[in-house]
Amino acid sequence: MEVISRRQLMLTGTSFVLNATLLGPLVQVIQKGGTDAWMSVLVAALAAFLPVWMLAATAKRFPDRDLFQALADRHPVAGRIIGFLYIGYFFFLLCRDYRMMVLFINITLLEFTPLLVVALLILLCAVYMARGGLEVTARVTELWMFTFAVSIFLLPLLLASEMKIHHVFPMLYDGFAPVLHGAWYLFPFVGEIIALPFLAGFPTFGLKSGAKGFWLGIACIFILLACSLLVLGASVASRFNFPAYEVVRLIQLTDFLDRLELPLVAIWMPTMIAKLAFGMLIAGRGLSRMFPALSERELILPFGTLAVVCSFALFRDLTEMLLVNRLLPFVALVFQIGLPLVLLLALRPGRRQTGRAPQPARTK
Amino acid sequence: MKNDLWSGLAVIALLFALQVSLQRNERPATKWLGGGLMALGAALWVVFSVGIPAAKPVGLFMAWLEQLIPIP
Repeated sequence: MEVISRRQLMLTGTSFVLNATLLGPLVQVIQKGGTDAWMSVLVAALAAFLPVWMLAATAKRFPDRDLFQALADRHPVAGRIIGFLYIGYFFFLLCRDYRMMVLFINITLLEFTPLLVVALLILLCAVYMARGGLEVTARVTELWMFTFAVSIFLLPLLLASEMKIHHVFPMLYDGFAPVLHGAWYLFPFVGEIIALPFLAGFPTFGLKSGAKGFWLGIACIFILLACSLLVLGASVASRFNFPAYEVVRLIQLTDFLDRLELPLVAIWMPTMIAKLAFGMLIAGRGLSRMFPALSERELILPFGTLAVVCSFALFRDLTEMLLVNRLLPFVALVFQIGLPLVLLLALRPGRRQTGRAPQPARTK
Repeated sequence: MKNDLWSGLAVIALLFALQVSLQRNERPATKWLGGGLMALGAALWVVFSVGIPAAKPVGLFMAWLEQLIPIP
């Protein structure tokens, strides 16, 4: 029986909010939001918190069961169709994360290493982690995500001398529309926290643990975006592929630690690999929950292999990734607002289920 | 991507061998589905590296979508 704690789930939520956002839409948020891009984080957070509340309310009705189980038990046909849709959605996100990570490593760290070699090494790590199960992956996330979040909270101190407050002025010069435009790009990324109820049921996933993880992730994004704006300025930051990485590169702590970005990337990398492992786990878990004849553990490597192939086939280069970021808000409206609302309204425990003892607990 | 055809297939073959060696479960449904997913991966790799190496599916889809609805 797999047991994960609320703190592990909270940090897993932070990982879902933060990790892909660092690689994906920050540059577009700054391009659209300009000097007011920091406000976009708050607007996107308010929008993305709605599905957390809806899914927490839904999960509360099915104690000790994740959403895949609840869907398959309550509505055998329609529930499985929705489950399949979510598996497809999370698989698409897995492919996107995979490609972004390989591209990031290729652009910033290992310029001459073949992409396939990088992809294979990441895949082996992620599969090894995911085959250990939810518990192992959550423990890795707990350890590294905490360290990463602490490092991000220290960044303003380390960058204080480089910050220039005039970079965020004038405020709202073009009105509120650029802020909303930036939030439109950010919202699908921070809303990825909806994966949590598919991994663990109530009471491990509840409004409290979901909200804590969500707002910790939002705080980290806010700090990184605000640092990028204050140090680089909107016009310079919007020209980098990875503005958060560039701003960390500016930190120089004595002559011995003049490349602080490398330890930070080394802390971030396991959390991102764990996020990929969660993606594979969701795919395998979803199928095994809906079709008990299937084994979750042994579907992880096939799903990982298919994700690598699809990531290379779907997204050819960084330009394609930026194009996807324009498409994602529409997809997110369906999966992060529409379907959670449907689940909230339609997914209620049946008469037989309310009176019977809960299924074997998978989380504490 | 054409140059990557054989290296890609070699990687998939390696992963397939790994999957077979790691498999402890006797449930045939899992074996068939797992093998099928890997075969699908290999087929997609061949299609995209030989058949349509310059294809940009996401770009094409976005171009089509932009004609239908305004995208911010």
